[in-house]
Amino acid sequence: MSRPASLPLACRVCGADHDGSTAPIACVACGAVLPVHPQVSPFALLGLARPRFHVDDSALDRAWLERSRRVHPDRFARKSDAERRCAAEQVAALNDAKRALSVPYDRALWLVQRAGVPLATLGPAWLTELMELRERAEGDDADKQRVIDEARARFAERLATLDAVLGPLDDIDDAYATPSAALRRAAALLAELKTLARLVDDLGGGKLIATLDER
Amino acid sequence: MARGIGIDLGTTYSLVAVVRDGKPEVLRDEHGEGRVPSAVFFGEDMAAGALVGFEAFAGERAKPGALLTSTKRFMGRGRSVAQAVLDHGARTFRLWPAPAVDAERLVQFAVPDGEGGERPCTPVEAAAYVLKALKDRAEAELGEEVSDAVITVPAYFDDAQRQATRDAGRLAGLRVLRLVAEPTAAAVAYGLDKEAEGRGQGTYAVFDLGGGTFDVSVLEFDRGLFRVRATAGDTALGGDDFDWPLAERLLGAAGVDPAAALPHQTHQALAIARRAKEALTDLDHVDVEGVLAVGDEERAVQLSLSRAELERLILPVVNRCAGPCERALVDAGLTPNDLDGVILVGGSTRVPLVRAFAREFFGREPLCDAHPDEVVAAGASLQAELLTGGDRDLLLLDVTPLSLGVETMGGVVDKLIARNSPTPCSATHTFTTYADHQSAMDFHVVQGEREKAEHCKSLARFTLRGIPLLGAGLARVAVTFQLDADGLLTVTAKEQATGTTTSVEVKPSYGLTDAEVEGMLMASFDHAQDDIEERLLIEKRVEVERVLAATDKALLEDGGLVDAAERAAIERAVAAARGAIAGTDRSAVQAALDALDAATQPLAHRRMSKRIGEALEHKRIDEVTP
Repeated sequence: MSRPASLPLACRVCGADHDGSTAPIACVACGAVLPVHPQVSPFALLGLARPRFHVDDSALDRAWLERSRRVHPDRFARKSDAERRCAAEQVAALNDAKRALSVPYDRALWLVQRAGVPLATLGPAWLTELMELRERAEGDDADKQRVIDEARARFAERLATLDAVLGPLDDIDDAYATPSAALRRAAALLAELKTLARLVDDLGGGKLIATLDER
Repeated sequence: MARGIGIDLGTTYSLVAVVRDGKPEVLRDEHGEGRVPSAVFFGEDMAAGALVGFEAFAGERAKPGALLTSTKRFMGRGRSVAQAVLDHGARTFRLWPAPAVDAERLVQFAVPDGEGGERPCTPVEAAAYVLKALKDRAEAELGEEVSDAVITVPAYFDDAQRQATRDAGRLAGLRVLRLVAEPTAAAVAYGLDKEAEGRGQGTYAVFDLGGGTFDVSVLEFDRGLFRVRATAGDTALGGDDFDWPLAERLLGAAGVDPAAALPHQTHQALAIARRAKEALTDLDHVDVEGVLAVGDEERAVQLSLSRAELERLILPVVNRCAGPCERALVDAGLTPNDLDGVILVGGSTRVPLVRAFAREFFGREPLCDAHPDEVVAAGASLQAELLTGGDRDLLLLDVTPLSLGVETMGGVVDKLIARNSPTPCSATHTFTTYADHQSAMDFHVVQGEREKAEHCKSLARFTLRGIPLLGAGLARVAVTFQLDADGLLTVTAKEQATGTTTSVEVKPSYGLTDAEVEGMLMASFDHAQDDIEERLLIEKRVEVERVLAATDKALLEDGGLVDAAERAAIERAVAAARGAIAGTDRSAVQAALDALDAATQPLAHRRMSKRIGEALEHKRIDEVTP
């Protein structure tokens, strides 16, 4: 199994070099809290050796708690400003990682982008269908609710397909390292999922995706 | 590192605590009272400074001026909110007649300036006086200078209300290490205490009903780690709301239109109402006596009330707790059955109807073994100890109570950080230009759960300039929200192609600049060297009032223990004492106090014997119980 590309990371206290891709907490040379590399994977921050689509939610939660215990800035009240800032970076990155990985859509998006697969453009058939849905929502509140329900159902159905496409990749070494037919199929599903989530959000049906507007 | 203190800045009462020998300890006055009323009095003849706490009430009775109470309700709120509160409830003070430039972000009260005129005073300044009094108490008690503090805020306080609290701390000369949510602080003190006994792990709801605010938080705790799962509340719901209907009835009976009552009449009526409410915690019926200024005379009034009547009056207020309780459980993904316990916090949870509500809503007997007034300050002191380098296995993982977002086209809110997200955290959304050659973009940062920006709390507006001149939709601006551990927000907007960046620390414009804080510090506290004689007189009056209140209570509970002659002697001494504290002769006040002490001796002794008798009786029952 190959490791993710290493990310050079220097200790802000003593300057010692580290590999940021493994999300280290303490400097090997001086023991100070390390900063977080901006490109570190959320999986590494949450203690998963390699990226994967299927995660155990309760294990993720436990990993988040345990790491919070170790990096929280309150633990470093007696340390230097530099170290306290690093601890603040660590805990913010940790909370962001948890948010990004706790929703299947966001996990899949991260995996697809990491492999370098461009987000798919939507096919004409799908666009027509979407326009038709939007038109139907322009009636009264009941119409709107029917469209929200239908969009949510389609979202769930595509999410199940995404699960079937990505699930088997978890067991294959380097499956998320380079583009593949499966990942391109996943990218197409993600594009459709995003438009459905956008539609539901626009109609006031709530957010189906945490990172709907990011990137 | 100097010792840090924990402060519970409450609506009606505030407390200060510190960790000594590993245990949190509430600091008390010489009478053993830990609570300092969150009341500030500005006398017409007081050139600088103000009286705080029990002294503020004494000051108000002794001379003309303005008494500010429950001003926490106006922290970080706009003038229209304040006006609405004063129009529909107790008129305890007046707003400054000339509104500030940004009146919707800044409430100002009219207080005497000590030179025959009036000046504006903000809720931040009033809170700073209370904080300063607590800081002074801590310094006197610890014998060292105190500068670091953890201050608690209602969990449901928004960014503006938190910022106002932080400013008040700064104004009082405190370095605010952290703002901690009140229910979280309570859970910490309670949880660590239980953990020391080897219990207390699990998921709990903290039901915190104070004088002016209501919070409910769902937390998990395990081995020193406190994790908030969800929080909800109402920053304008509290025990103060129970007092007004009673005060209205009292004013009405005395022939005063409650809607036109003068501030000092309202204060008097509220004080009597509060005594009645408190007495009804243990009794089924009370007759509370007091005096009310009507015209030029002090008229004796009586409030006769049964517990059933009280409950009928306050039921609509108590029922308002249901919505937040439901929201907190739903957001935590739990039902009442999933909880290991419900912890009651806040003085208003002593009200039997409130306990009954909690029992019914959560379907279990609530835990009442936390000290409802003191547990929040105790928790704050534990966090202060940790943040000043203390070595304790404690970690708080809190959440943001309200969603944060920006206004988009059509006034709709785009939420970047959802409510109940763990803090600190950050989020980024990308926005595009909507017109060709658009060189600037306006951002409106809001907080709240509503869809439309106009229904949410407006936190800040700012503009990003220097966007490259491109076609509509081509320039991209990434907006990043960073929320720190205090729940305070920083927003950064960055144009992607050129890297042009604008950043704002979201600070509502009522917030004070550093220069303003410096100026106010110079102007108020350090010049507050009042006449020593006057201070001594006021302290003595406070002492007399305490004895008067204790005498009232003793007669109410155990009036049967004295005979007619003894009762007449007590009543004479009470009348003499009331007369003495209305005057300015300190030796006369002292003489009246001594006479009152002497007259109440027989009653005090018999009460003591009765209590001891009861205690022994309980003991015997305990001993015979298998």
